[in-house]
Amino acid sequence: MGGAAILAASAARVPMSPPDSPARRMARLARLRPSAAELARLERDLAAILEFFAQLADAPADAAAPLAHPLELEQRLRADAADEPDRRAEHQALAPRVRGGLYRVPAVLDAE
Amino acid sequence: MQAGTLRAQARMLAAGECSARELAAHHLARIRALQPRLNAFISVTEERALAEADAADAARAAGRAGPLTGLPVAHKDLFCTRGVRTSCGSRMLDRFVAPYDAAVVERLRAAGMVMLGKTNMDEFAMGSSNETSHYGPARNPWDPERVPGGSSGGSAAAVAARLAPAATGSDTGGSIRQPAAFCGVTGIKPTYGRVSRHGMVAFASSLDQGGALAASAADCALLLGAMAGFDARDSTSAERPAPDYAAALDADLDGLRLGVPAEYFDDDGLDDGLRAALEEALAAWAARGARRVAVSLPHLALAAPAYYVLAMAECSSNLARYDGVRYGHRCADPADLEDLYCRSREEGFGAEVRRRILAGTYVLSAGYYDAYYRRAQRVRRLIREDFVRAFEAADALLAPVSPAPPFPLGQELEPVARYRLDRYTLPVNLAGLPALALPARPAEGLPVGLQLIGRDFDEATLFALGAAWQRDTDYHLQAPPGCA
Repeated sequence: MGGAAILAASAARVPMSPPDSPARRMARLARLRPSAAELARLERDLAAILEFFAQLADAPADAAAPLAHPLELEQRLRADAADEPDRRAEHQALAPRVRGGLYRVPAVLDAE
Repeated sequence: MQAGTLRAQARMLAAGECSARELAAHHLARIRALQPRLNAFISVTEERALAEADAADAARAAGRAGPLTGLPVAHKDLFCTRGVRTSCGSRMLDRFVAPYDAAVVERLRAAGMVMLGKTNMDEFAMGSSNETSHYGPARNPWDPERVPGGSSGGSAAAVAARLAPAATGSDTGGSIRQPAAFCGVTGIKPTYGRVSRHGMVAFASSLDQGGALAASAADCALLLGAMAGFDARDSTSAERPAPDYAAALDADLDGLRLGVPAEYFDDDGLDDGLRAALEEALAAWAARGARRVAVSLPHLALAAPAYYVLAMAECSSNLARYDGVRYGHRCADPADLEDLYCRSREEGFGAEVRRRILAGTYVLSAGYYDAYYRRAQRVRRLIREDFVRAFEAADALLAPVSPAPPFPLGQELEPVARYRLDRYTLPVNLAGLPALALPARPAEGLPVGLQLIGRDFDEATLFALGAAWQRDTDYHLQAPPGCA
């Protein structure tokens, strides 16, 4: 399926709702947890936004090379030497929970 | 004290008519008086400002003063400031105190400027009205029931209300130019790569660019001269020295070709008052020898959807770093790691940021990447090529900043309708070009802005045009009610 067809088809699919609506899937991918009311609003918003984006399907852009950066600056290489000072303590001071120099999060594996 | 423009204040300091400490104290007193009405600041750094002012006075006494030494500045709250909170207008970073200064902050401090505080902004710079700020909206000094624009709305309101003679801003899709226009001040969005993004909290990295707001083009030239230049810490920083912008202010405009893009001027949504303001400016430049030439940007209508695909995609990627682990908001009592990520992000981000992350995730997801993200990048090429062709016939382009004057706070508008309001500014970001917003003839008592768009790295021509316009007019010197 070409880009335009995918775009049109996806825009058409969006208004379909649960059980696994686009907004719900995207929220899961983006690690967001909207309430039911917000999810309903996001469904509508996402459909409207995709309709807005659908204008691009008709753009005469098939032959245009994608432009990732406006000035196409070349990536520089720096000398292979350490240039950042050790600021571990300063950075860890910003963390919500630290113990023994480690960032603390809920256990992923059982303690056993 | 009538402090005046940044350059007027520089002259006062140089002549010994006041000290940096007196200037700082004057502006801090104004902030205290007007902050309750305008909410232009998120943080005010009074003690630090006075200490920096004292240091500036000492430097001047020792014969070490530069052109900016002792002049006050307010920083948009997305520039990291060592030891001072950088919130980005978000609950997510409400308690974030950066361990280093942004390059922009570093350079202006090295030039001797005195930081007054951090200005209000749309959350993560995502908005055009300042209403998405976690700290409540900044208000327009011309009418506090109206928006100051965004996302650098606090910076624009602070400059307009004479709370600071200069402020930094960032512009991803118009975030310097639109609030400058809404508040009746001047704003420069430099060429992409001109000003280092090091320490500027990222929204959309291929579009974000730091810049400045002040009363006049001459003030902005002075500021950009200090901010611009290569920085190895930003991989997209341009390796070219900044020219002497102040020297460009008096450039002769005779024979300069000023392009009038049909797609901007023929837009049905353009307010009549704005159209009249554009014509008045064209006549003023023509009287100085500039020549009006017709140009076309045929793909302009595609800029808004292309911009929002790319900006949302880059936003979803950049904001993935906020996970409640290393810094930023963390939810209480997470049940497990997934719960920690999801609830921290859901609680830490506001509704507009979450909406953009969601849509950005969609356009980058498997199956849709080519149809949306890649396609928007192709359209970006078309838009850039339109500008390149226009600049074969013209030396600078004239356009409006916003289709309408500042709108009332709390206006109910669907997201896409709101996004479309940025359609005059965001093509410039897609193309990476510099642009200058200048105050023009007010419409119905509200500020109006003009936009000059330049070739890559040719901010100097914009400053020359802007300075000429501001020699002919005094729109940029008018003060909002109660703010003279």
